[in-house]
Amino acid sequence: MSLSAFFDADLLASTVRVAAPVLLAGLGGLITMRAGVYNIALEGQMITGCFAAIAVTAWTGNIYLGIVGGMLAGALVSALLALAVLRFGANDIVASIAINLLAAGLTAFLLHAIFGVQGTFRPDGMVGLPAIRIPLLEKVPILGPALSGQTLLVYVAVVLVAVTHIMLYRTPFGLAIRAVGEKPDAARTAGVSPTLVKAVSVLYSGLLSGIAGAHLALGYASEFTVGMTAGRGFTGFSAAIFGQLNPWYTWAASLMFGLAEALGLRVQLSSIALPPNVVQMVPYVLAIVAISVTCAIRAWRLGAARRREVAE
Amino acid sequence: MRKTTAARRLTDLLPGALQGIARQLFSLILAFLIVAVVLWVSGYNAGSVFATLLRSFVDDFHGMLRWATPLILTGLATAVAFRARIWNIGMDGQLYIGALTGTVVGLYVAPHLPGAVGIALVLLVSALGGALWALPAAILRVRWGVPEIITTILLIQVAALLVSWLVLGPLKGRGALGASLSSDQIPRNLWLHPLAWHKPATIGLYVSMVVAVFVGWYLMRSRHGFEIRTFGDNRQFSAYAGMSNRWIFVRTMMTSGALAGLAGGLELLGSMHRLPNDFAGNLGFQGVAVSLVAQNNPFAIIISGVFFGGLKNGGTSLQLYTDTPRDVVDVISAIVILVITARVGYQLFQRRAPHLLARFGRRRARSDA
Amino acid sequence: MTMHIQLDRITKRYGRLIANDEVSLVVEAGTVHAIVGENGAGKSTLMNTLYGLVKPDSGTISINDEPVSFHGPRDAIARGIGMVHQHFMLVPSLSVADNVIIGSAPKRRGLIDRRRAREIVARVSEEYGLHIEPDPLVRDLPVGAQQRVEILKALHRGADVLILDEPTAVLTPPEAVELGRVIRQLTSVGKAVLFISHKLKEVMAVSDEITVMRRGRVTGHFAAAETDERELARTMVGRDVLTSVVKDASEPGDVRLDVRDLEAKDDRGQMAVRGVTIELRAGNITGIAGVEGNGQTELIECLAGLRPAESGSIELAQTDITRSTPRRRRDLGIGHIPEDRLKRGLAPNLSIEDNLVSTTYRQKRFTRFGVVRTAAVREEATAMIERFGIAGRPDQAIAALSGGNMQKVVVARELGGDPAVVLIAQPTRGVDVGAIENIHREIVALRDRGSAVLLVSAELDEVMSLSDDLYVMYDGQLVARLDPATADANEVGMHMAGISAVAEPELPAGGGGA
Repeated sequence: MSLSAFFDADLLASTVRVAAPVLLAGLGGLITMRAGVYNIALEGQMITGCFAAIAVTAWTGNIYLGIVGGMLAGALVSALLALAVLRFGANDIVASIAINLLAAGLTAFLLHAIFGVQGTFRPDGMVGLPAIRIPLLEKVPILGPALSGQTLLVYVAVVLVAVTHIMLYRTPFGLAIRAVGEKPDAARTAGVSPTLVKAVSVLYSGLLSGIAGAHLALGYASEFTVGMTAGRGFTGFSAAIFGQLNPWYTWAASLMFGLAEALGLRVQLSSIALPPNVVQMVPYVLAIVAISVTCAIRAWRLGAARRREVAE
Repeated sequence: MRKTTAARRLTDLLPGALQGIARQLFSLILAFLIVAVVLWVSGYNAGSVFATLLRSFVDDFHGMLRWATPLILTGLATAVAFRARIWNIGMDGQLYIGALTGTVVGLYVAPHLPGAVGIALVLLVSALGGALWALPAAILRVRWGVPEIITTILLIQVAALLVSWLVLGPLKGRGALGASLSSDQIPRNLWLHPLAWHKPATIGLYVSMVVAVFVGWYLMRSRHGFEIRTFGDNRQFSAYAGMSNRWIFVRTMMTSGALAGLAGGLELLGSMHRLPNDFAGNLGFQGVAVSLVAQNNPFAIIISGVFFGGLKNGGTSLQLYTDTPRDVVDVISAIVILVITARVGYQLFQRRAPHLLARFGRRRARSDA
Repeated sequence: MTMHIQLDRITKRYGRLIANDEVSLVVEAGTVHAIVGENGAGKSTLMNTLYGLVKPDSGTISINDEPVSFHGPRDAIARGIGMVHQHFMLVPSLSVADNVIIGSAPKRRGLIDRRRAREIVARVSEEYGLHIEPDPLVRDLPVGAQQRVEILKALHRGADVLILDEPTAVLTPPEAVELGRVIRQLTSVGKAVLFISHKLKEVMAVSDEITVMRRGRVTGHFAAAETDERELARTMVGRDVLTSVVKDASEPGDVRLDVRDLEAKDDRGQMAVRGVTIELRAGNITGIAGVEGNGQTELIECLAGLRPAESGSIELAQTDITRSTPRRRRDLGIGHIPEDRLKRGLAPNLSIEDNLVSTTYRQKRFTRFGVVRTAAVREEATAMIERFGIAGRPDQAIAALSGGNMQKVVVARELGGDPAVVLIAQPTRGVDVGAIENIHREIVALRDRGSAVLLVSAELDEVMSLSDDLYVMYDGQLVARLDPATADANEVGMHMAGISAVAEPELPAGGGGA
């Protein structure tokens, strides 16, 4: 198999598709981390989104209401996190871990409680999100077939990159987020409430992770499976870190994670002796390298004295 | 004045410990009440669910102990790190790697050794594997200040993928039984002896308990334990007192990783007997719950580990007898964590409240009043 | 635009500590009113009260004879009060314009109107001669410019009174000159400036009125034209800690600590210790007097190994320890009582005994084969508790002790082993007046047992009465060496104020700005 046959439009198309949930979670994660909350509950927010999307679709028969349901469910879970952390002063990391366990357990539980099944649920007559073909774009060689024909939520994810960018860099609220995360006292003395800003940021991440869940559930599987997010929330967290908490870089990072996953699948089906899991490992290792370099530069700027103390 | 303080000390001493226990019990009860509401809303009989759970604690005692075995260890891994206020939350990754290194030794080295020596070697190498997997995060932290929260999380994924690769590739099993998704079985003479014939719990439980007692002693009485406690209480102070903060950080992180790795080794020798593709099932994250309920106290972790083991195991009975999904138990653990961490946070919050009131002005003062 | 602020008998207590004790103050528009005093004198509490960050226990604030009550900075800002904190409230990675508009951004169709933000910065900068560009990132600006951004921020929010908290502490001399110019420009258009400082020369140069605070009280009020630095220094350090320390003449022994041309940087990377050469002898107390922030803290931390030396050498009894770790230095016999004892000197949730052995736990008598010998620790702790009169049991947590007993634990640990050299910073800071004498006696006893003592204190009386050998530190250098027995407080005060120091750019006199 030649290399050119390997990197074809199909690979690009599946890269874009599998990158979407990672990107959505990453965009939410970067906003919360910009506001100074370690939100590793993206995974839990996402699986809840998956479940709610399928459940609402099953009830209403309307797939778009399902998407809205997924968003709201994700936001609801993130509201619980915000409540625990910002109102009751719970540690954000520990609370996030709890939220992940809770979401995993609760979705499996509710699957049984509501639909009476275990493991996997596929509503009768369920049709996934339709592919949207963009006539002009389709004509572009290689990129065209990859970018056109994706489902709605993939395009939504891309639009949200721009939305997140504008929100973070062009709106007063984004300014508040950046100030709160970097120097809460500066925000506070300027009359901005860090609690409020953090709460809204966490809710935003819940909404986006919810969309990510809806995409997973409706975009290509058309079903809910217990644990179907399979670590994508954590991957989103990694993409946000890798992307230096910048929306566009996070997009690039999630495309990289997506490419690794798509390549992994491709490698599996081919005769190439490259283990798929090793391919998928690359972006995680690169993420560690990226954050280390960032921190090393900052540490070098600050000088040696504080480092020896390993300040909290 | 001396007299009054002495008298107060006496009255404070014992109730203090009891108060701690009472507070944790209260949190547990509150968590169960919340779960009861969830069950009730979803149309289940909360009473029978809890009764079945409780009965399973007795009926399937060995199942409870089987799950207590790894949970005690991941709980200890959490406790050691959290005592030093180090955020090692990559226990799942360290557990994977511990099981992996244990498998390699179990398949290729230990069979050539006498049984007991082989077992000891496998467990030792598991612990070592976990420790080494925690090392990069520690080094990056002390060298350049890379937050260990981020690196340990990322390393979970790397560990899971590494195990998958090896299990589906170089270590791929040859037998017929699910061979494509796990490694070869390790020789029977390395399997841990069950506590009773054909029961799931093994003497691995004794290993966990002995380690818990050792860690408790280690934290209270050893020099390194003293350093961990000092560092965890005030890093500025430990540096000033002449301790090497970097070295403490690295050692503590490795100790924590070793405990998680040992949990992986015990899972391997006690229950799985082979390395499957995907197995941790949040044992690491559940260790956080175990440690939190035990207030990071290694001795109490034995009890809370058994309790959470019972919960994890009780899910099966639940499904069998009450037609309630087993996942309720995950919901219970999660809510226990939330309640406790929120309660602890809230107390800190209130203790700091006078300052907060003074500094942040009217808005918070009103909402707190 | 005539603003008139009156603080009337403001009192604020924190527990048993009285931060402000019936402090009264009047600030008039178009003037610079300086508040001087040592750290802990209550200046910052007073200013935080005026800025709405601290609620006074009693007393009133009135603006233009109308009583006001602030519930937060917002209220204060609304009444035209602006504050420039010592640690700037700026977000380093944001641009100047963004920093100025946080919380009150001009909007156009929901987005930040960056053009108007830029115009705001340009206009205010122009109006008050601040020379600030809107576009650079704050972190790329020199400290002096960052400070002017803070001033600009306050002015943009409509401040008529500007509180400057230790504004020159972070500035280079040319930047301080620039600040003086800005302050005069502000007063010339009718703004009032409250200037908090302990650098007397600057205070003299820029203020119209000066209020001196000490231990929470106003101890003097002067018109700048009618006083001088000497008088201010005397009022600032006061004479009320007259302790009758009885001590014999010292018998200096061999050189224990030999420091040559030592240089060290502060946390911001500025050189804070600039070529200090000093010898500490056995059985001798060497005092360093000086206004705080002149490098004393950095010097002590550098000697203790907590701060790297940039150049120079430190020798302890002929052993070079310039690059040694804190542990090695402690093993060689250096004790260190830090300035901020409760933050740096104790582990609050550990027991008294753990805190007492935290520097010596590695010795064979306390640990064997990596195991702590609890009986030996308990025995040692019990002995120390007895000897230093600590009211507590060995296994009691530090946090449960009173402040005074916490201090004693630090003192017991650092002095208990009769170290060869002891570094003591501000030994009586935060200590009840009654306990001061005890501590002084302890220091002298330590000397008599043969230790070499380095005593750094901002309390002039303290260093003068305890030291056998007295230095004055100013701007990172030891500018004078005096005989404490014959030196006169005025003379020391003059050195402390930097009058004898090498000539440097002076703040232009700006008394009559109005």
